[in-house]
Amino acid sequence: MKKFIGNIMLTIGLVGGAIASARNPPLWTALGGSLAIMGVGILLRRQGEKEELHQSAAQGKGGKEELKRTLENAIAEIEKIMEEKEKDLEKAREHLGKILETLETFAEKAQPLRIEGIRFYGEVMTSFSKAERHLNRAWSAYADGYVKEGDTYLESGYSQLKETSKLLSSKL
Amino acid sequence: MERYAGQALAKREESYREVTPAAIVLGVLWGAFMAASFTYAGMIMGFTSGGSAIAAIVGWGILRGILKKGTVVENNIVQTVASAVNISVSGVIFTIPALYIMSLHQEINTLYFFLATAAGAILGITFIIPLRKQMIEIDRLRFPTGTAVATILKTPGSGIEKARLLFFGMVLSAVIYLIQQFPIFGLPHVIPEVVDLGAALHLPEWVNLTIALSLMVFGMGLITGRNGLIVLAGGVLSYYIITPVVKSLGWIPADVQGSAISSYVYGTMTRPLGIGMLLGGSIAGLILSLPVIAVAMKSLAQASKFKDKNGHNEELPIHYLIGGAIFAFVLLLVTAYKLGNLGLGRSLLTALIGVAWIFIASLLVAMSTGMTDWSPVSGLSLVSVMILLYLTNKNVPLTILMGATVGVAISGAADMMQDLKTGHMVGAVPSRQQKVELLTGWLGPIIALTVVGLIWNAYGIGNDKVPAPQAMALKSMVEAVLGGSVPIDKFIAGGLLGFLLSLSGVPGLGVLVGLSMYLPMLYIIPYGIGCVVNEVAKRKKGYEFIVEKVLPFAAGLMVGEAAMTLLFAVLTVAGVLHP
Repeated sequence: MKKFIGNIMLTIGLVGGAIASARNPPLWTALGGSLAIMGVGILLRRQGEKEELHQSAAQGKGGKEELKRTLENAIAEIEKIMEEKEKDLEKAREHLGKILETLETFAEKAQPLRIEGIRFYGEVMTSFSKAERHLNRAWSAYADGYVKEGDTYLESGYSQLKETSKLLSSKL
Repeated sequence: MERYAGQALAKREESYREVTPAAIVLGVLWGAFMAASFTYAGMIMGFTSGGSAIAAIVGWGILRGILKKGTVVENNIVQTVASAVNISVSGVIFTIPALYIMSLHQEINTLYFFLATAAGAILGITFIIPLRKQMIEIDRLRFPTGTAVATILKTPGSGIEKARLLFFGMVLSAVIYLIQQFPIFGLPHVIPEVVDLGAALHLPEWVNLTIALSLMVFGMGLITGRNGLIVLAGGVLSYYIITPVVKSLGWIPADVQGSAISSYVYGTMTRPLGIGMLLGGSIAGLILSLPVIAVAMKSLAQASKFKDKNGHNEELPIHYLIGGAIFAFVLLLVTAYKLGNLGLGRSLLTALIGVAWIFIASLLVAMSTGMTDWSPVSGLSLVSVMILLYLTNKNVPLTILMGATVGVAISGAADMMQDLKTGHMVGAVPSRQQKVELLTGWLGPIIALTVVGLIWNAYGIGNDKVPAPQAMALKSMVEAVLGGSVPIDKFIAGGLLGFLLSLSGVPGLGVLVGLSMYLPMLYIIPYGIGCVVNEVAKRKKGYEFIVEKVLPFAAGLMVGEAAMTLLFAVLTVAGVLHP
């Protein structure tokens, strides 16, 4: 509810402020009032968002537990690829492509981590993105037929994903 | 040993081809060809294009088709170099021809043209490197063009279905664009470039509901997704809420009537407000991101110490960046001191503020392109002119020259970030991309300046044959600033709104709303429709559908029209086309 009211106030403040600013010259007093409404709206919005996120995390619908599960699934799938690639490299590469798509959803779901602290979020995403880039390189190298390069980066991406998972667990 | 979509994997044991002489030479040659073509066409018709996607396609044709050994990451280097060489064209043609039009070019030694624009190329690339981690890895910005280029680079290994969708999108948008541009069998406008939906629905003349039928813009929206919905909402606020309210309150001069009302509100009210919001929003974004930037810098410093098995750094060592920034700062200082007659103190101040402004403008333009693919270059140029005229004691030649530095820097920064996004998606090593871009980025200004000089000698500039519309716009900006008619109050009001919006908790909200006020509605609508289609498809069919079907098709839509703009540029150079 807080978030909803905050959004409404933010919108009203923005519309009012934009109209007041559009006049030549701007209506500074009206703009000041609109900025104040926006300010209160922002406070409510942020508080509401924080509460919602904590609630859903407590109910197990999101938050670090879900992110951890996504990572653990991806790690398990990569382990399968490591075995699979010895028998059928093309199939293993296709499998890797699918994992990279699911990892995209990790990045979307990780946004709420910002409320845990922007620095923590930055550390997790830096580690995760490195893993993702290495796995992307493995995919490209396999596609080009450079198997050794692919193997090196598949292993490196795999280890980096484990690091990310560890980092995530460190603050659980 | 080459392998195409659907074929079985071939195995290679040698080291993975990435930065190769073939890739660099091909990138430079293709980039130079595009730079020369777009410089000429830009001065006649007023358009330029990035060209990364076309370079990627040409790269495949040559590396795999002729040389028979190209790789995904090697072709990524081709497109990185080609776009780095080509991209600075817009920074040059927006500014330098204005000096010719005002007959001020002889006041500046040609060498300084090269020095100032080369400084811009280096500064833009240098400043943006530390922000790669923040924008691409941490904030995960979309960079639609970068995403489209990655789709093209990965197509040969992505399966027949994706290749088909990409090809279908390309052909569709290229054919539609050609039909729009060329009358067929004496029947012009079979498919018009724009549709005035407002007139068709008998809406009042002041309601601007004109839509550009551009599949490229629709494709950009398709790739952008949710972020673009904010741009659409901002456009609705600007055109369908502010405009009628302002009209009903009687804030428009009586002599402005009919369809001119919408243009008046846009030109004197919402556009300058949008520029202010962009600036305020990006400054707030910068402040909010400082902790993340600190993490990114720390990680960058650590990663630059880490060497792979071949002894290469994954990230460019921090001293490269510091060295590049100092080098470019010195070039700006020398330019200001030698040309401006400003004295050492003021020259230092000019170079310092110039460098700081380039940092903020580069950040802004990279954020805008990252979130939406739009780049507010003309608005930033207006602010640049305002700042520089003040700093240089209203020295117009020096202002325009340094304006060229800023223009080249910000277009280079946006391009670098798009290329790094592509690189991330194909698994390129960032430091390699950054090095080749630093090594080749300065070539573009030299090519563009040479073409501008040749055109001046052959035809003159600012006449019927070479109208140079963007340079004429800059000339008007300079005159407006000198005449004191810059809407600083709107910039401040917009800046306050944008600053606060960016504190809302929705990342980049101030920049997105500012951009929507700054952009013409003509393009916001097809772009917004693309974003809505993306969101609906994602909810109904899931994220996999977006990656498997929507992205390759959207990339094709963007590439087809972009390829046709290059064709137009080449036909213009060849003298086949002329307005």
